[in-house]
Amino acid sequence: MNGIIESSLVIDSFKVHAEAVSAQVLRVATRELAMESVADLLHQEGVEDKPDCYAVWAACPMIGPADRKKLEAAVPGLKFDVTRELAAHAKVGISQMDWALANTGTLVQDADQVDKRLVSTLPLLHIALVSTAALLPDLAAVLTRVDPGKSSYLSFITGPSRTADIERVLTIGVHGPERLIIVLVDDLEVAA
Amino acid sequence: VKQEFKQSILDALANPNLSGALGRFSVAYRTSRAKAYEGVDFEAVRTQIAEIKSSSASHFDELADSFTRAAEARGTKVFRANSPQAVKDYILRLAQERGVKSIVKSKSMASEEIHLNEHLEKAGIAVRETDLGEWIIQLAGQRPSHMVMPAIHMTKEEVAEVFSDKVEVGQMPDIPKLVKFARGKLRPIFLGADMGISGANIAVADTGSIVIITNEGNGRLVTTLPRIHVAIVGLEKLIEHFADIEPILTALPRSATAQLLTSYVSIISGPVPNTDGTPKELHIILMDNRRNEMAHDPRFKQALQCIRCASCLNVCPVFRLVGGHVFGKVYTGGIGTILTAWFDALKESDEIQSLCIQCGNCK
Repeated sequence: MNGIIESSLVIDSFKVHAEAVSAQVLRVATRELAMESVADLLHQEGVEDKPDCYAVWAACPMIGPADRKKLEAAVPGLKFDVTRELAAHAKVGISQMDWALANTGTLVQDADQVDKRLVSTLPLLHIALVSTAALLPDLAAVLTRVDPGKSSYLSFITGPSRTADIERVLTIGVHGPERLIIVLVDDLEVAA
Repeated sequence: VKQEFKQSILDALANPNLSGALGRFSVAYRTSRAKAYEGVDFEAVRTQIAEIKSSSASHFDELADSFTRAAEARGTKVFRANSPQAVKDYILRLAQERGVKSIVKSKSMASEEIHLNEHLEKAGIAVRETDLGEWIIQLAGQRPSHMVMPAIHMTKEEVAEVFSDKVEVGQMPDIPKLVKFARGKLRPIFLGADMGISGANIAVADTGSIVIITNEGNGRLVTTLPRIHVAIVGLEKLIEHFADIEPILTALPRSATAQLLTSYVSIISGPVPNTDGTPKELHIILMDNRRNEMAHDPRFKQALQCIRCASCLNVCPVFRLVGGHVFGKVYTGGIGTILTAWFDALKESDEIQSLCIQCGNCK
């Protein structure tokens, strides 16, 4: 019981902190529902198979070959073999993250695989999926779990890209995405 | 005080844009910073960082040795340079050997310290700053007036004018539009660059990792898109243990921009694949430029504990009135005065340190 209360506090805290930096947070019960939610989001965003209108999804453990076929059929303009050229003209990028930090609203990912970085830097909208069970309290907790001996490029993402370089006025969306949608998925396994 | 310097003070005081922007900011900064530190014991974090970095400053050689071993074991090339000239020569030679024509940079005070852009541009290589504030001042032919917000002295009207003059006519003084314009203009430059140059906010000796903290996302592009990445790291960025990243990452965004964490933090511990599948060439330059000498001076060693949050500028009544172009050289404000004396030349800091009124706000 105690564990359940604690985890709901952690989820609330994550949501509050992520929203405070202009991210949008959704929560779904299952992997199947997560895929449906992403498909719905892509339809809402007007994703279609045209330059600057399509979406790219970086290879990730939660999507198997069969899921991929199903999603490709459901969303025309959703592409899985991500290259630099494709990502450069994509409207939406989708990726799975490894951890989330409650007290800052941060997502953390072993991003050695370059497509993971391409889909979360080049498009205007980044949709990030993460296991609800991968929510950690804070920075200190994640620094003991990551292994710089194995991960050469660790990415921490907190909200969309931002600047205040002109007259100290906060402006969202500079060189990276101008929107970040986070989907917490309850039944996803957590990477070891 | 020389006449020329006096005149620069008078000019700054008579500039309503400057005093307006800095004045508004210094008021807002205190409140937002206090809010960012809610629930965090600032004194405890500060003490912890001081201990970590003081211990580093007593062991620069050992830490640089372990950093080099750890990074090279992963395939990173580490170059240890004593002088600014050695850093510039290394990067230019590398660029020439690899046929580099275009370089994109993410913000690096170490590169400002050694006037790197000038050196590379003279050799015919295109160098673009990509941090918005740095790009603005590069186009305007100026130097940063603040370590965290390089173009804080400029109004949107001035920025629109610089963009219209140097990039494309007809830019309006509308901040969201100016930001979008920068994104659009710099994107093809990112995609076409052969080399990315960055600094680092932290370097971890045990693991050979560098930590790069940004908000705009340019740091991630600079370290992802070009086939070569060069990071210039002052020795004072070295810490021994990976876990020591935590207190610095707790304090730096809160103190610098009143954020709980910046939008992006990248921890790079070795070369990663490029977008074409080839391994990225990763070069890390550990730069001394008198830092070791400074570490051996009992009075000045403490200044190497600085994490460059620029808080001391933001609370300084003198900085608030005259800005960093008068109160500082490459490094500005109170800490800038000290760093200038070592990294540049003692005589360079003579006039600027005379501006200090000893109020102790920056302590």
